[in-house]
Amino acid sequence: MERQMTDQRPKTSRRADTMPRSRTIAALLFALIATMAVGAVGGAQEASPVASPVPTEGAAAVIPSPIGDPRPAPELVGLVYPDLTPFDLADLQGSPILLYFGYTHCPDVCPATLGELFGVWEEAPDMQAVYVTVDPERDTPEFLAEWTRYLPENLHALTGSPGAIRRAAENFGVRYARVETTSTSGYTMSHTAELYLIDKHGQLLLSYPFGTPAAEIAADIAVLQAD
Amino acid sequence: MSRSKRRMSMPGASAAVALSLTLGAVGAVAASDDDGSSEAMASAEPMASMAPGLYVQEAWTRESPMLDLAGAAYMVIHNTTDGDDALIGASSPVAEVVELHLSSMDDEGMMSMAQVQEIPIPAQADAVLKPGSYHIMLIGLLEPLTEGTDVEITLEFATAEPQTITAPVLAEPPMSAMDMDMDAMDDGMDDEEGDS
Repeated sequence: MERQMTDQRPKTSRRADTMPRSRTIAALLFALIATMAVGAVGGAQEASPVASPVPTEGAAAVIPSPIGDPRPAPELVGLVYPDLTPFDLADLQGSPILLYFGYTHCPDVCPATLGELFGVWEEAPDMQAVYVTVDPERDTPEFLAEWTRYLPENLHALTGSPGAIRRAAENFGVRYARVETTSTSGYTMSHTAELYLIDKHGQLLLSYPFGTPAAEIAADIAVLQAD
Repeated sequence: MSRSKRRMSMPGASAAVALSLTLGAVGAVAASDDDGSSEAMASAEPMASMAPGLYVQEAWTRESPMLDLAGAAYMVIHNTTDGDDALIGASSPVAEVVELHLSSMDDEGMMSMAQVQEIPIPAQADAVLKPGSYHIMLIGLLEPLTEGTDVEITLEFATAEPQTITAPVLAEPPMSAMDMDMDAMDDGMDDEEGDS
């Protein structure tokens, strides 16, 4: 497949209630294979009817991806590790990747997602997690360096300029905004909280809504690893 | 997958934790009753036969190693009385400030969090504090919250007397707490385990 530009936006609605709760990646792989088969037979065909990004009626159970067609994951341009080393998603190819946009001062939703990652690691220890902060004001390189001391090495915490983070987020359809609060803990960031699954070939396959059980994600990764 | 009713049962060590929490919480409630003799009865009797009140179960605190970051505590508060009540505040020796918060997702899939003045505990129902929903925020941690330790939290209610509960620090929820919203509003009083 041809590598696409990074500014491609997801085509589908991101409403959580349209996302099937129980999906299997086997169905997605079936769609992939079908897509490839169609492509091989007739390269001139415009689009595979199988890989329609918008689930409709009977097809909804078979094509669960809320992302749309599997496609090369957008690059994360301009993001850096806490030690300021530039991040390159390609360096992680060969491993399944779960990507998240969150922030460390988030006491509830983001730690819950981190807890899910721990659950996935129990089943898939080679999974690489990429955690991009949407709060560079507080998640400075220094702060992230301290934070990652308590986390596994295969969690890649990234920050960057506000503009670089905004562009990276938009490429994945992630939205976020600063919200002032009455809380002693200061402002919060409201944000979409999906986990994005990227396979070992760098293809963006699925997004998981907040609260997806770790076992479900781990099962998908197991299917990918068997591939 | 399909559970007609959420039950207190859970596998392995989690079940033991939950059971001990149950008994611990019940003991704490009974001790605060004005009838001192109820304590011995409390640990042996099923909840349904106990005096109406607020009963806290499944309390836990998420591991939080950095003092600069807030911690969060979760639990289920059963209200077996015929009157509505509410959690209106909390305090803990591990945090300078304790607040009540609600995380929620809007129509566009954005998760946000807001401080709330109270968490309702309707009559004959439960208040469920869980990730992605109501929670107790521990701000200005005075010590790291380390797995294997316990956090004491004193809960203040609109009507009921305050209760001090113990919320063990865990790295992950004690059960599939993320997935319990569908049926967590069951009245919960008839699905006790370990009460025979």
